[in-house]
Amino acid sequence: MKRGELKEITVVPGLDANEHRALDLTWRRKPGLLGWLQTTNHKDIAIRYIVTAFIFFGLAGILAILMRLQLAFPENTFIGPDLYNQLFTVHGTTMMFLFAVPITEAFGIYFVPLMVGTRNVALPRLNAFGYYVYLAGGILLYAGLFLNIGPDTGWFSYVPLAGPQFSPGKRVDFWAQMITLTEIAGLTTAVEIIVTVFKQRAVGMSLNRIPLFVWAMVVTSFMVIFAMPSVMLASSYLAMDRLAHVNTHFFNPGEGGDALLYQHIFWFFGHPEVYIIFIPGTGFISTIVPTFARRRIFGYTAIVLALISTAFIGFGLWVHHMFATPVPELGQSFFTAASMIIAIPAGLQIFCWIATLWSGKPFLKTPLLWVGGFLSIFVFGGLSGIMLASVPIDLQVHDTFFVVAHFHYVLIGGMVFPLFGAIYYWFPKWTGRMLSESLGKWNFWLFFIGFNVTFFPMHQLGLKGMPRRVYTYATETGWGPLNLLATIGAGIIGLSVLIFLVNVLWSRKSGAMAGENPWGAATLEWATTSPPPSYNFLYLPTVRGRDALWDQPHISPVVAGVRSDIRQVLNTTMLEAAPDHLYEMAGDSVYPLLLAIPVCATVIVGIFTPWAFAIGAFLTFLAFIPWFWSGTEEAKQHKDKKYKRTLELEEPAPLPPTMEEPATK
Amino acid sequence: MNPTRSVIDVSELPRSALDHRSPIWIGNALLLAIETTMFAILAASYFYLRQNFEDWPPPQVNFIPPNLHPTPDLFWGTANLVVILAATFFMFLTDRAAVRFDKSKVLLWGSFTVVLGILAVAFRFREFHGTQFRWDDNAYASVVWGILLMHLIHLFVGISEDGFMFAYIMKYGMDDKHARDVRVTAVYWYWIGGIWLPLYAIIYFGPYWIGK
Amino acid sequence: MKDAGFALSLPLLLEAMEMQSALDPAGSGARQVSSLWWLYFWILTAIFVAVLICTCIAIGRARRGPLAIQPNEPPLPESQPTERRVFAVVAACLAMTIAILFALLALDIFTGRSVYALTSEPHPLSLKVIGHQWWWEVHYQDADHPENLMITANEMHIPVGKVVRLELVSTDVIHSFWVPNISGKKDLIPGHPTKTWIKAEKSGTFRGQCAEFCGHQHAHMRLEFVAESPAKFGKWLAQARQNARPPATPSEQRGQRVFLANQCIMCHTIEGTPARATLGPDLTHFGSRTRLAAGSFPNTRGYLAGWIANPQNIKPGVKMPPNTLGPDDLNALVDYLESLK
Repeated sequence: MKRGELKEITVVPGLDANEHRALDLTWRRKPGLLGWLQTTNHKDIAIRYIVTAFIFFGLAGILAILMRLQLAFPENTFIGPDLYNQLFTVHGTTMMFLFAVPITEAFGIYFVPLMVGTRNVALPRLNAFGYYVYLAGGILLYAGLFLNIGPDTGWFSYVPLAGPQFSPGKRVDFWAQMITLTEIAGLTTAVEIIVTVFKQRAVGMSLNRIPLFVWAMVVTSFMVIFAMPSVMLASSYLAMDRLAHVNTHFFNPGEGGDALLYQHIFWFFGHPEVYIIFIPGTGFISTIVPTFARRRIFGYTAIVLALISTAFIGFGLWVHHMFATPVPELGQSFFTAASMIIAIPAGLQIFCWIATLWSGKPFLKTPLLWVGGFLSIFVFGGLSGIMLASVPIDLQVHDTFFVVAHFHYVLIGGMVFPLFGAIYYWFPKWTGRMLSESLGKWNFWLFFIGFNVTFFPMHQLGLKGMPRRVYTYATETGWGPLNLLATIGAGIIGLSVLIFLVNVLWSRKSGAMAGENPWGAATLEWATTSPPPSYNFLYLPTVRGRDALWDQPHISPVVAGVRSDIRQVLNTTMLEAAPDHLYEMAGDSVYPLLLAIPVCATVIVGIFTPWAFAIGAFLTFLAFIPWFWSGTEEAKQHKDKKYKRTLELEEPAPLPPTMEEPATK
Repeated sequence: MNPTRSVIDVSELPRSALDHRSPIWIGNALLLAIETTMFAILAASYFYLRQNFEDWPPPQVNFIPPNLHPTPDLFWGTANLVVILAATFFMFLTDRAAVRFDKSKVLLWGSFTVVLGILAVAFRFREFHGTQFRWDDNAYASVVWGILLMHLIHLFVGISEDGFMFAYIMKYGMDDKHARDVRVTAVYWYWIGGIWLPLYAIIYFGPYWIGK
Repeated sequence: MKDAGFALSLPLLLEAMEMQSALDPAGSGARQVSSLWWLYFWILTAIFVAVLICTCIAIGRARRGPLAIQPNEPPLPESQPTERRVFAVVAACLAMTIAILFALLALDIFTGRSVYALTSEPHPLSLKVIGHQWWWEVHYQDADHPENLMITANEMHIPVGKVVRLELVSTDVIHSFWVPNISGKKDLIPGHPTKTWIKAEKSGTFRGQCAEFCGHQHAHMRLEFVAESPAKFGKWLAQARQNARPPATPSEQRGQRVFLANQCIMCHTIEGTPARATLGPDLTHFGSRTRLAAGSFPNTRGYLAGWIANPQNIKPGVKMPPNTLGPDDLNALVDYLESLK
């Protein structure tokens, strides 16, 4: 087989501009609403995911503030138990399923193709489909809450409490089907990211040169693939147990079912979920740290190995959520040991980041502040996690506010702080403008202080005996002042997020212009304009080292010979990323939406009647037909000599300022 | 005077790949990894729920006389195993024909797969009947029906994929894309047949191994 | 505001005496966990401070201000001696992490063994605890005289210094038995009866609370836990095994008639009367309990009358229905119930 040859060609004036026009006509979305519904561009889809996930973050934050107001004083009657239980259920569910996982996967959808130097994610239609399904899941959950029939059995929905006997009505079904929908979306995203990284990396980006953020997303995606089926099955069992006329007995102790089976299946997903959320956070950190330290990351290989071992060990910890259940003592020791061992790869990464900063020549911009916040808060949460790994200590603090404090330190520290850092870091790439540094500092410090004021006292509340998920507490417990303090902290966090919103809205229009690479970073997403054009790179880049743009980018060859009149991309080999074959991607299409509608309708109507599944399966079948009933553009052109692309009749996009007009008009 | 630029010219590279080098192939493999995880957890549930019963399967007392050891009907189960494996084998022949772009052989062997697949679906309903329980009788019945049903869904999907593809090929002929699609669907069929071996063993022999 | 200030100095606050605190141990399990916790606390705090200092130094010396930005500044050239030095430091930190983790693991296993040792000691007293939505039922069994069963609700007395075995059962949803001052928690799971062993080392009155979310009134599923000297305990148990005291005054007699003639009798037991239902808490010695509605409120006339008239008012979602009694009947009923010492 003939692999790509290295050649010298003469640059013809105007060539770039012509190439830009051709590519833009091929890759940009069609105008108008229809184009918007049809787009399969990874950047469009990712921005949708990010905006939607951020809206859910805001909603869940409001729920959190309502809960904190209720708990501010003992015997408070601001919110009754019914609403309170819905609030904490929807808060936790949103943060886990509608915010944390989707938003990090969305960053993957946006930046993985850019960082590996290609034009779109692999399987772009699947990507578009995933978003619609995710959106339907989110709307379903909040429709329940706003109708005051939101789920009220916790984000974990333990049976038998969530079973048909103790939760009649449809509340828990909203939760279970929301899980099914969002997990479908999560799984499709994971598949796309892995395929993109395996097949579409820039020539020369062998495994040992993949940027650490991309590594993090690949490892996360593999964890998703093995963890999320588990929770889908748990929620499906639950939905089937609850659905009239189906009434299976998976969790019904009266007919040989088992309440503990649910816990095993749920936590087999639930613990890896923590790392599914945290590993992309480490990817953000590993990207930001070398840029601002002005040196290559220390311990690249160690960090990659740490990520992979975290993923493996992450699947061996689930029982530490179940120490208070009848689990054999020997089993408990195994899970304690595993829970402690997982601190080793986490510690290793932290040492590498600190070492990189220490031996570099850092400059302090807002993204680096968030890294500092991450390091201090996440380490604190990790250390309290070591306490929880110990069975005797866990039996005291399990299901108390100590645990609430711990996992907010780990998840907010490990994911939200890096996420804010990543937003400050990549905002210029999305919009072409910088976020305001001074507002950014206010945003950071208020968040950092508010966070600690809110969650630090909760450690103490837990040790003083305050259980989780209580809507009120007695005055004589003495928990009042610390709770009031936590409520004040929640207000400070809310203020900080408002400042962030102001910063985003203001900077989008009026921030300083960013240019291609404002931070002087090393990864390929900075090798194109900000915001990137629809096709990402004028010429597909090649890579000569781990830090693509620091390793003499100007003399790296680019790829020529990929067609610009159809959506063709270069596929490379899995290990060494040598050119392999050219591949035509599916174009924009309304089929993903047409498939998402029956899928979502089936799952949602399935809350009420099992017939939904029979009819829905048939409609889904119909919606699938066009996915198979289509050929490639290339084949069409081959067959039809008169074939003409309709898009050529439209105005091309304006030239980016860096490109010259053709010399000869 | 114009500057030069060094490029890697890829215009001569092949336009498609029919094997694991194709993105669709890997995407399909990952979807199968997801489904394998599902089945693994279903199987784990089967063994976990075993602990809650004295006898496995539990006695079927709705019958007169009661059946004290209502094992699933081995005849229909085994018959369907043979049918599923035969369908998979014809998909293997289809796969080989697709590599050669042999349209008529693809359609010939492929139609065998579709017909046998439909037969497998019909037999599957005998298998449901052969469990001697309804899904809502007890947890044993729920999990056995669950395994049978999940696999049935894959049979449906496999047959539909085949049907669409072969109809397209019949109308428009074989191109790169559809040759690759046939090959990817063949992998799916290998999985459908392959995953059924352990699941068949669990459903039909589990009651004998761990029954008492 | 005192607590707020103390929030920044965790150890100080924990010295205050608490009725529901894991770090104020009065039982053998809680004592051992609390010493393990403090050991972990100091080790982990030391680690945290070390990491924090390194982070602050690493970031704190960064260049600031708009002038410091030089986007196109080339990255630092790699210098082999620096890399080797950094490698040595990181490797040393990693080795230390592993060593500390193994030490912590050993401490954990050591404590775990010693907590579990209780299970093999002889246990003179064995209680059965049944979790309900949202109250506790406690059975005092008598191994020699099974008919001598005493059932009480939302309160528990145990003798100091004796190992007590608890059989934990739930008939509805999952609950978790937890008296922080005495011992760690154990879940009550329908279909999975569990056991736990506790030993009080100090006498006192403590509070337990359900620790697994169990629905609407999870917050109001509490338990009075009294650890007392064996002599006092024996006296209490003997008294508790008696039938209910018969009504003495006319008002109490009227109260009893109200109790037996209304829906109260559908759910509650009062030993020595025809009331034998077991859906709700046993009220035989109701008057001796200090708290009402699974520890939600003090057992005073006001709360009791309000509770009987409309329980949904003060504990929304509770299974007890409202009662439409005239004021005199209600008054008599309260008199009667308060007399059941």
